[in-house]
Amino acid sequence: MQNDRGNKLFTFLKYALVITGSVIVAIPILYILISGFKTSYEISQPLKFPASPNFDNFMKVINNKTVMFSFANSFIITGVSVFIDVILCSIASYSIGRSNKKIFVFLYLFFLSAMMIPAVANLTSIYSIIYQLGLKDTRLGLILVEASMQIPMGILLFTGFIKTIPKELDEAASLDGCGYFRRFFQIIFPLLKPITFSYATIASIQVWNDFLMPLLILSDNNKKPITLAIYGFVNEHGADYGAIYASLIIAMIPPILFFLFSQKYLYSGITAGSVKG
Amino acid sequence: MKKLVSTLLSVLLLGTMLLGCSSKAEVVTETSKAPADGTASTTAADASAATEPTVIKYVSWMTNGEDIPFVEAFMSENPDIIVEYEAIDGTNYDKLLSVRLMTDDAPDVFLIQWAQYAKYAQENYLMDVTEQPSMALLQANSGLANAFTMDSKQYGFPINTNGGPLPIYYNKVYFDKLGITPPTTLEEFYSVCEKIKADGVDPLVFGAQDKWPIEMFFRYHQYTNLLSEHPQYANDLYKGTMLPSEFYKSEFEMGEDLFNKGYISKASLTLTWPQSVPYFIEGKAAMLPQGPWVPSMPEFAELDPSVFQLAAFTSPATPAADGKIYAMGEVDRSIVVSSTTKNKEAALRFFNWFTDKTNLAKYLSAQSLTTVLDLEYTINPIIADHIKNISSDKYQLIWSQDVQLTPAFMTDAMFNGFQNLLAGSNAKAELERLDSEFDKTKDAIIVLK
Amino acid sequence: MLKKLKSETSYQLLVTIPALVLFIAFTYYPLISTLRYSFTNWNGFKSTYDFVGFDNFIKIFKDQDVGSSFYNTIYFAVFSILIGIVLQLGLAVLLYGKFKGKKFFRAIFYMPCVISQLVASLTWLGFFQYSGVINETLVSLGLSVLVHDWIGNPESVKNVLIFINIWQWTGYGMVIYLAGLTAIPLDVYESARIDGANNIQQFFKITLPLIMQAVTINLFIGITGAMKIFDMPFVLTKGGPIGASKMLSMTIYDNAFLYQRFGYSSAIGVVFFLFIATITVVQIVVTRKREVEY
Repeated sequence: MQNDRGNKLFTFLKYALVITGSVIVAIPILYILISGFKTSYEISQPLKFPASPNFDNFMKVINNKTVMFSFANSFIITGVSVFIDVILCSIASYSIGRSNKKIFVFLYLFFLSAMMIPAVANLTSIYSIIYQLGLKDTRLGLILVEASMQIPMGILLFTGFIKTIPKELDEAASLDGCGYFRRFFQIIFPLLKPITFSYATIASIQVWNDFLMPLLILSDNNKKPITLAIYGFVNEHGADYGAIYASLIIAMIPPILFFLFSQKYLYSGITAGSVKG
Repeated sequence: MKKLVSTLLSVLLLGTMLLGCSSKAEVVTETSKAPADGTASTTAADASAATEPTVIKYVSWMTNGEDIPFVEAFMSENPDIIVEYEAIDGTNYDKLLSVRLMTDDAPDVFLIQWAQYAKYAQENYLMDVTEQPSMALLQANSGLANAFTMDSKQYGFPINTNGGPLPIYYNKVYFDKLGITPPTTLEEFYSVCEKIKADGVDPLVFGAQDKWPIEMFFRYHQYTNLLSEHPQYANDLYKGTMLPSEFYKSEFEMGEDLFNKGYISKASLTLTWPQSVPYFIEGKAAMLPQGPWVPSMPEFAELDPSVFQLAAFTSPATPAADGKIYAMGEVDRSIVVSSTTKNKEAALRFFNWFTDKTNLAKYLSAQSLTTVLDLEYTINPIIADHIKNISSDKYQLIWSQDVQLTPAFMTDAMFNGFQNLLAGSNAKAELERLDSEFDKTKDAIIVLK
Repeated sequence: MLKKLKSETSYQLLVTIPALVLFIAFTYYPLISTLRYSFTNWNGFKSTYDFVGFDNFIKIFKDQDVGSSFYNTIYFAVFSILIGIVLQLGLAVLLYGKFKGKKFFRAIFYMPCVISQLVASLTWLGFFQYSGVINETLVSLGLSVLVHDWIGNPESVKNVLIFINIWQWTGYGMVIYLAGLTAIPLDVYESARIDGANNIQQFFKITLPLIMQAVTINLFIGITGAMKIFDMPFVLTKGGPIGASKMLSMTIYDNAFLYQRFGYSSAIGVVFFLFIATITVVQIVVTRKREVEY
């Protein structure tokens, strides 16, 4: 009987903690959502709800061609860079994670070292490389820079999880006559789904929300991602906060959708039951 | 895996289709009021089919599209020139522009903030414009012209200036209710603050989280008495004949005094400048010291006049021994031409058109800017009195220093100093800190003349 | 079989090349430039500068600004990471087993990391400022005595930043741990239960070792992320009040762009990098040792 009461208490605490936590976590998000429906004046009154849901901000944003193009740009830039990253990092990590040779340990640390430096002071160097390669004001240039910036995280994540795939699988596959690349893409890669999606979600968020690199590299308004399009609502002495919140809300939707879509793969479990003994 | 790939593919397809539509849109003139629509290439250019139009690049930081109508007006009068306009975000403006200049990717004509002028001129990025026709207008104000002169040449033209004590905005309805008339001396100012405080309202509010609003107020105050004795104060600081803690003493002590008396709203420290405006409109604070751009802000457009009427008075200051009020003038935007431009003639035509008396006046009126140059432009009636006041003989504006102190000191150290006062520090500690900050930045000081 | 695997090395090296090239071109090359500039007195803009050897590095150790921002950064990092680990792992375990609506809660906790740091910071500013939502709510509830200048007070500002950082990243860390937890075959727990192990023993002897990869990853991300934090303090307090929230990345930034001491700023960056590298290498070695391979 004691156990029962203890269990009930534990369960109650569990739920209480999680619910309290979620409320705290959700409040600012709700605030952003509600602000999107307020007029500029109402926004300066944080505690009040809007008198009536005001769709003006959203209409303003949707009717703005430049903003909608920038949405498409964000998709392209994020989609392509993350795609490149997933392929490049996963296969590179396959080597680094499997082999014990010193060179791969060095490579691992080499890739990771870039994550330890605050990137703020590299603007001139990055711009000059892009400029010299003739990639200034191109989305390709931006994609390459963004992809490059997410590589260390990819190596970290993939290398960590390659280890959870039993080496026996490798040996079994090569005994069956699989070449290196076939072995990787047909057997190993599909098993990496959870970490692929974990990586893809965080990398795509970083790229999707980045404003410094696009600011540096792009000039043409038709190529700018959504993080820069928001500046169009900012003037020297103020800003159209309503429109900004509306743009932010719209900008939040794709990453959330992607996360929800990834849910299935994130928790699929890598090797549950695939190798016995 | 398959699903991932197919999703990405469809995204790419969708994206490419959308962009297919957009590239067609580039060819058509876009004169819509859409913000941040920067590529203003006009089809009116093929009116003169004889020669290929020259293309020049113009860059500024008006990201809300404020400059676009102006640029289009130029292009309609000059069909053989196409101006490609790009607006770069103001907070990152210096960094981004510098990066482009350093990689030899400079725009042909661009606006700069004052802190960039000497820096760019010294590194020979700016074209010598001394002989341009509009410079005559600048020369008429010798103090201002002197600010632009390096080695007897000028490399830019001031678009708008601010100078002297700030306007302090107030709600006429509220002042009338308390029976207050706008103060003209510092004593009157203090008693006005006291009356407002007694009514339970914060007398003053600043958007101090952004730092500059509070520093700006005190900067124009303060050292007027010392400024008359040391018009080249930067030189004195640089040579060490005067310490920052001496020069800025009255400024910081005034700040400390106002804060200790409770005249500055406690909310100021964590309030951003845009937030200070509604705080003021709602009557939580009675006075908002700010710049001349305030009356044109949309927040004041639709207020009920029986509740709120925007008015302004000049922030009172102590006259020097000769009865005049000395203050620093400040150039806000300047227009310059790149020294490496490949389209010299076209660039100069744009420069001269921009700085022509009539056109410049239109620019100023459209964006509610002010200048001390002799132009006829519309000044918002709310600050008309203030501007007239400042332009009178009562105020002596000093435009430049022969020695340019670093932005780190002028802005950051000073800004932080006032913020710290609000956070509970005291004048003495801040003045000491100012001395050590100045020491740190000494090696980066530029000697102009 | 050994023979086949031996020639693998050439393949293995080959496939790392694309990632390597991209990485070196756009990320590493700028870092090398930074290293180079750290030995000069370049101001970031002039076309001329001199090499000054190790002068910059010596200056760093005498610089009070560097010292205090370093302290702020360590304070921030240590608490963020410690509290973070407990919350992330705790949530992952709670939302892994039987829990009604666990998918919903997982998504809620994850949401904050989707919002850019800049936006999140601006939103929280609206909550924590003196005239902001929190204080206004307290007043309207009659609790004015609890009103505090959360970010205007040097004592409390760092704790606010830690709170916001945890708010933003707990969900993400939780997801990584969840991915690790789902990788553990259930029969491992079965056999342990049959052998008589209770919940706590199961956690420490089975779960923890088997999710060490996830621990390595989260710890690494946590340490490097916390050390490099820039956007959040920049937006919320710009390093104030009285420098209480000025982090090292902001000192680097200020030196580069404000004080016009680009060379010196690069030197600070290099020293900081060496510091973080040391810590993370130790961390990775320790946790990798405990990683259990299948």
